[in-house]
Amino acid sequence: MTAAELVGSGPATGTAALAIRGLRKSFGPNLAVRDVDLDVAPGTFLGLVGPNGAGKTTLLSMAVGLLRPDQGNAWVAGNPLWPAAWAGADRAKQLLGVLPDGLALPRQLTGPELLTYLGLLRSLPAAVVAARTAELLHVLDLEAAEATVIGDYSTGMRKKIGLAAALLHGPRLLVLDEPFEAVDPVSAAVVRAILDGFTAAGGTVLMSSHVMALVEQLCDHVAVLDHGQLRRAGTLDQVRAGHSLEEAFAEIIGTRPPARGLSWFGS
Amino acid sequence: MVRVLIGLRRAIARHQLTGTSTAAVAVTGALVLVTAVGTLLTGWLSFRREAAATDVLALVSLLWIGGRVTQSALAGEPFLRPELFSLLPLPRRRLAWSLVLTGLLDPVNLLVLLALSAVLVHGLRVGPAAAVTSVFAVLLTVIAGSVLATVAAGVLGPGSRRGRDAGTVIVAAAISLLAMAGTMLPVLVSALRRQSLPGLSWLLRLLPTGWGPVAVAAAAHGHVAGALLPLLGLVLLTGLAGGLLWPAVLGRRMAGAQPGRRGPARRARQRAVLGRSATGAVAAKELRLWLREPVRLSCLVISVVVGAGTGVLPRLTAGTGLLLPFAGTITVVIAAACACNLYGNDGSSVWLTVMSPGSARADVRGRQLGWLIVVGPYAVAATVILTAISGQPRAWPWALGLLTAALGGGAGLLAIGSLVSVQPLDAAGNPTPAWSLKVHVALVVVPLTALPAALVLVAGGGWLAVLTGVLTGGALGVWLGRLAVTRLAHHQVSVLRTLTRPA
Repeated sequence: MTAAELVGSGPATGTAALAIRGLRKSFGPNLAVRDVDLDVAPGTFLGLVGPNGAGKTTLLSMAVGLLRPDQGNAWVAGNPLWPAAWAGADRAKQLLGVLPDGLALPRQLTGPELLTYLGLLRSLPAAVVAARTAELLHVLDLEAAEATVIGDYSTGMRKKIGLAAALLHGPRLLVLDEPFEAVDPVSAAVVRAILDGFTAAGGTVLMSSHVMALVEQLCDHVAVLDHGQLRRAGTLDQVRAGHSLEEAFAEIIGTRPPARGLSWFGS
Repeated sequence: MVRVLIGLRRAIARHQLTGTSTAAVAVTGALVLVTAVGTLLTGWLSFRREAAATDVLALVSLLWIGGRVTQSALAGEPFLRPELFSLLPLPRRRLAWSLVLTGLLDPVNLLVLLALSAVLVHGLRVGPAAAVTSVFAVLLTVIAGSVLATVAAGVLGPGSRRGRDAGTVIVAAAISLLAMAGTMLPVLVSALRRQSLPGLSWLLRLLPTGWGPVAVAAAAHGHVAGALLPLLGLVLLTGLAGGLLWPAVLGRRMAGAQPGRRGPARRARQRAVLGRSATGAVAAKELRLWLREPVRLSCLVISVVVGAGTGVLPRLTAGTGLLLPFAGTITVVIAAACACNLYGNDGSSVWLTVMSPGSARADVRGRQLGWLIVVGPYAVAATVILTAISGQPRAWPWALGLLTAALGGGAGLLAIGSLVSVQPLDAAGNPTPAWSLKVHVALVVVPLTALPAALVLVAGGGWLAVLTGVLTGGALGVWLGRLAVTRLAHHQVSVLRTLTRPA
């Protein structure tokens, strides 16, 4: 399957939970993302994989409205993310829950303070905000750190409070950049259960990850990005084509691990 | 190892200062250089009594070394953080001395050396023995100052964020108090020259920064022991700080102290007084950040100290209460100028606003409201109380007219100013030279918002100025805020891009 073929059902942007068309971004002379097309159907759990520097974060940032593309656009349930000041972008963002990588949270707020602030900023009723905040903190095991400011959180705790912030307003599409990075195994199981429940209820997830085993376990669709280009996309079985995802990934991007380690080993 | 560390420091500095305004760095450097040359000239001052020269030079030495050490404590070590070396198998004592030596080669020490050469100039004028002693006195004082600065920079290491932040704010308060004391410098120098403050003279000579001038004075009188003992004291102090204290501080930093757990867990309470609206939520968040975020809190502390100091010090030193009614307004001006880069201070967390549809208005108005709640009540109370104390009934329209105009104008300017030429903090979360330049420009612009009220006052309008202040303040707060809402709605992605640090 080539990049021109699309994940999920139908190329029309109106039916896809997320439709990406011709997204392109360069930073100076470096072309980070090259004309990527991708559709994610409702209810899909799509894993976006690629080597370091492949352009995953850049692609996801453009697809959710955090980074202005040089060309192309993205639609959430038919609502365009760009131009950012248009009403369509507001409607798209109401349906979106985002966990970005490398962007800060207010480090001087505690977890509950952050969630309360965000819930009210999104105009949710105060009682709903309070109930959801309490449930999220309980489920994600962040209750013990209620009085700890986010600046003192571990990396894993920051991922979890970021996920809570993404889920708080009840989005229909979750876009998560490396959600399992530095998350402990127990919490990872909780996050997996939450995401499974989310897709079972009709929600859509687009998640980037370096961990092939995790993608194989969680995702029903996979997209492989390399050097800013979408190299392969489809169902998990279509992409791995009878191999493990790790083997298929190595073949797609054309790299193999060194067979005998490094030259000075054993010297 | 020292050569490697110097290379590493230079490389990190080059990368961290990328994007920082070269002009701002040059202006700051030039100002410090001019001050150093000005200090050097005090060496040529003539004193009727030798003791007075010792006291004045001790004061100068205290200001330079004290400033150098507190600046290091405030900024921390921006380049060679001890945590960088925690995984390397380096002997700690050797690393400690190497870092001390690297610190000695910091160009800042050249400026301190230039300033303290005032002691050398004075020694040359007094006699050969004093001249020779002054060479050692100046060098040992600069070395001791550099070592103490290295230790001070290491003290604020990784502990709990709140502990570190509290330290930063305390140092900021100390610096602003020192700066206010600096305005009393001419009074102090003249008192020292008259030898009319024996307690202060005693204190200045007792502090290590006074030992150099004391040694020079003893040498001038032919007291060998009196000249040698203070110099030995400086050597001993440097040895203790560099050989005992610094390795201990370095060890603590390299061990990577874990953040402490907070006290008993408690539910976050939304400030009910601000309601449950989106604007109220932003204002509540802003209130917390003003009270917790070290750069913001330092600004508030400085604005209160400088505002109150400017009003009160002339009363204490010159017996005039002329500026007392304006202490609150001065605080408002400084606090507004410091608040003119709020998005830059918050860094890439502005993505939360970008992803919350239709939140631009709440974000801007909430920031304005939060600032008004933090600054307004204090400024009004300070103005009312100090105007009453000043005993100048005619000052009331001046005080209240300028205050109301500045409060509204400041609230408006901070909103739009925060979205123009957004300046991110550096990697360590500290203000950059460009940030400081922006605040200084804002310090000039904010008072202009009170110009209509000031013109009414000058024209003899009296209480009409208060009405003018309320009207222009209200109008500017609403209008500039509206401009900021539009700008944020249309440029929020660009602002985020400016504040996103490359990975």
